[in-house]
Order: sequence, then C-alpha cells, then structure tokens
Amino acid sequence: MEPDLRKRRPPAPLARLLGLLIPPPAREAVLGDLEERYRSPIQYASEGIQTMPYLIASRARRTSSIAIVGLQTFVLVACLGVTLPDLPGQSVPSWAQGGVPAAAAMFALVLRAVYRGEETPVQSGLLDALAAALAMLLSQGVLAALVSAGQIGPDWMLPRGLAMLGFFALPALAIIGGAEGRHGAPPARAPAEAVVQDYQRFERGVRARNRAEIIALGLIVAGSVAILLRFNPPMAPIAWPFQALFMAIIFYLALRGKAAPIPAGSGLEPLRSHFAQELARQNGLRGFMWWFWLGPLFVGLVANLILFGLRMDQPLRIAIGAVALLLLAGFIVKANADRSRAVRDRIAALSAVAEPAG
Amino acid sequence: MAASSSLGQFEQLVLTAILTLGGNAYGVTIHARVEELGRPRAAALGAVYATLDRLEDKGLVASWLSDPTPERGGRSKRHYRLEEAGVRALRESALTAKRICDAVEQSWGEQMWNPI
Repeated sequence: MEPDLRKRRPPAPLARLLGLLIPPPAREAVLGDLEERYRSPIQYASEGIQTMPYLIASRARRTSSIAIVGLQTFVLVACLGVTLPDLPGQSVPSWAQGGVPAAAAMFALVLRAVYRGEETPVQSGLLDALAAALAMLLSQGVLAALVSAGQIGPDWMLPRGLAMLGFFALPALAIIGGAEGRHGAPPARAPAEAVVQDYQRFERGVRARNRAEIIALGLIVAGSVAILLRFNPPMAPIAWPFQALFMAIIFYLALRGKAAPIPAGSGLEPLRSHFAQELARQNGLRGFMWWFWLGPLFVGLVANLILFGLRMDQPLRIAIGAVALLLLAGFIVKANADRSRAVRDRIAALSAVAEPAG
Repeated sequence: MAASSSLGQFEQLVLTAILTLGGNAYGVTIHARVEELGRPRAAALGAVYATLDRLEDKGLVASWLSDPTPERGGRSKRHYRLEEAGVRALRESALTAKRICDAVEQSWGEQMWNPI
C-alpha cells in the first residue's frame, strides 16, 4: 500500500494543531491513524478537519449526562431571567435577552466536558464556572459590538441587574460540575490494601466538595442578603426564609458534611462496612442537596410562569411553566438515580474485595 | 434479539469489519474494510470512530491501546475486538440478512445477484 509515500510525515505544526483540537481520550489513536493515512498536508488537514465533528459529537454524547445538562440549563435560564415577564415597552423579550448568554454558557460547558482532562472535582467545578462566565461575557461582548455597529438594538444586551444575577449561577454551576456527571465505570476488584487508600481518596474528595459547597452557599447567602437589604424587592417575604434555610444547611454541612475517618485499628470487614455506610450517607446527602439547591428555581418557575400566566390569562405561559416544573423535577430525579446506581456498583465492588490470605 | 434489533446498518458493517480483521482491527484497517464492504458508498473516517465509541458503550466491542509504533510517528493504535454480546448481535443481524436474501431470491430468482 504505497509504502514510499507513507514514509512522509505530516508537518509538525499541523499535527500539533490537530492534536489540540482532537478530544484528549481519542488524541493518541486518531493522530496515529491520520499519520498512517498521510499523503499530503492538504489531505491530512482536510481529513483531520472532517473527522473532528464526529469526534467532538461522540465525546459530547459520552461525557454529557442529560440530567446534568438539564440542571445546568435550568440554573442559567433562571439566573439570566429567561422566564421573567416582559416589561411594558421592552423591545426584545426576556427569553431572548437571557437566552443568548445562557446558550453561549451551555455551549461552553458541553465543549468543556468534551476537552476535560484529569481534574479533581473542585478543579472541575471551578473550571466549569469559569468557562460559563467567560462564555456569558463573550456573548455580551459580541452583542455590544453589534449594538455599536448599529446592527441590533441596545435591548439585546442583558440588563445590568440581570447580568449581576447571572453571576449567581456560577456557584451552582461549580457545584454541579464538581459533584455530578462523571461516575464512570465501577472500580475494578481491588486488593484489600487498596480499600484503605480508596477510602482516603473518597474522604479527601468529600472534604473538598463539602468545603466548596459551603463556600458557594455562603457566597449566595451573602449576595442575596445584600440585594434584599439594598433593594427590598417584592419577593423579599419568600426570599428571607430561603436565606435562613441556606444558613441552616451551611451549619449542617459544616458539622456533618464530611466523611467520617476510618475507625482506628479496624480490619477489612469493619472498614468495608464503614465505607459502604459513608457512600450511602453521602449519596443521600447529595440527593437532598440537589432538591435544596434547585428549590429556588421551582419557586421562580411557579412565580414567573404559572402565577404570572394565571394573572395575565396566558395559557401558553402556564403550560410552559407546568412542563418546565416537571422537567426540572425529572432532571433532579435522573441525576440522583444515576449517582445512586454508581454508588450501588461501587458498594458491590467493595463487597467483592477478598480478605487477605492467611 | 434485543441487541441486534438496535443495530443500524453501519454498525453491522463496523462489527463485520472487526470480526474479519481479527487481531489487526484498528481505526485505519476498520475504515478500509468498512469501505470495501459498503461499496459503492464511501464512509467517513470520523463516522467509523463515532460508531466504534457507540458500540463500545453498548458493550458490543472492547478496545485497548497498543504499544507505540514508529511508522505512526510513535503513536499507539486503538485495537478493537468483538465482545460476546457483539458476536451475538452480529450473528442475529447476519441471520436476518440471510432470511431477507432467501426471500428476495425466491421472488426474483438468480437474477437478484445480477449487477443493477
């Protein structure tokens, strides 16, 4: 098969560029395949570019869970005011004003998942939030450029108040990105001595996530209280009890959120049962936290879509609100079910660990 | 029946390619064999990768990286092999295809094998 042609190598800068664009898990094998098929720089570049959409789409399918993408979308939609009723004289509807940065952020989050490398949960969450923030800012930058070029009206830009509210989405996105979505395959049967190291890894991960969650909740409470005190908005009577609840949860997480350390001098069996118990407890805690984290979204959907639709006699708005409520609940249930399945697999793998011989 | 009923035609081609290539099934060779089996239609290399990912997620094939090879710029090959579920799915697809061939041949006779 034309071995003399095969000896030619693709130009190094081109290979490096393609290497950057190919999702990391496929990079090694695909670059090798492309190099094996190399005939000319143009053939190499064109084949590489044609392959890319398939690789990205396939990786996006593998790395993005529908429940997590759904929850991220709901958080962005709520915080960017997509469901807010339009004000009189508003030339661009709220769904379009908020929809542009929300779509940009979702695009960035899906791309992040495609190119994500080895990261700790905290790094993963922070980078997710950063990617979403940059995408939202970039979308507003592009809109600002179009406005100043006279291509679109200034109402396309997100109002300043909503832009500030949009940043409330970032702690929630960081928590979703850090805590969920990449359960992977159940761990292979580990030797007994590996269980201790595995538990210590789990304990460190839980501690980091717990700390990140407390900080994120603290930021949300601080920001919300500042807004409530400064502006005393009409939703204040609903918002204050939420702040109290958030504070209670922060205290609970500080006291009970961490995984308990391994009891001193315990053998394999007590360790295994302690590990399984902690896995189940943390799973229960996460399940509760999603309902808690996303509780305000239910309130927002009821107020902005269903109640407003009833008041203004808009059946379509009411119907959208009802569907959105069901979808949001469905995404939370699915995220919890996916995680519970992964935890069950992990507990099953633990119970398969053999006692050391002798 | 459950596994093969969800197999698309392209998936069947890729599984057949892996089966016939034996220990030499990796991206380049699978793509070449798929093009050969599916002629005159060309197949995109990316479509082969995406299908291999999907088949792996369904548990029909397994993959592993080989040692780096100098003729590929020192890069590894991702090799594929059929899993037991993949063998079953392919066998069921082949049986269905054979039944279709037999039925069509009964109606059209030997002329069904003439080039169109």
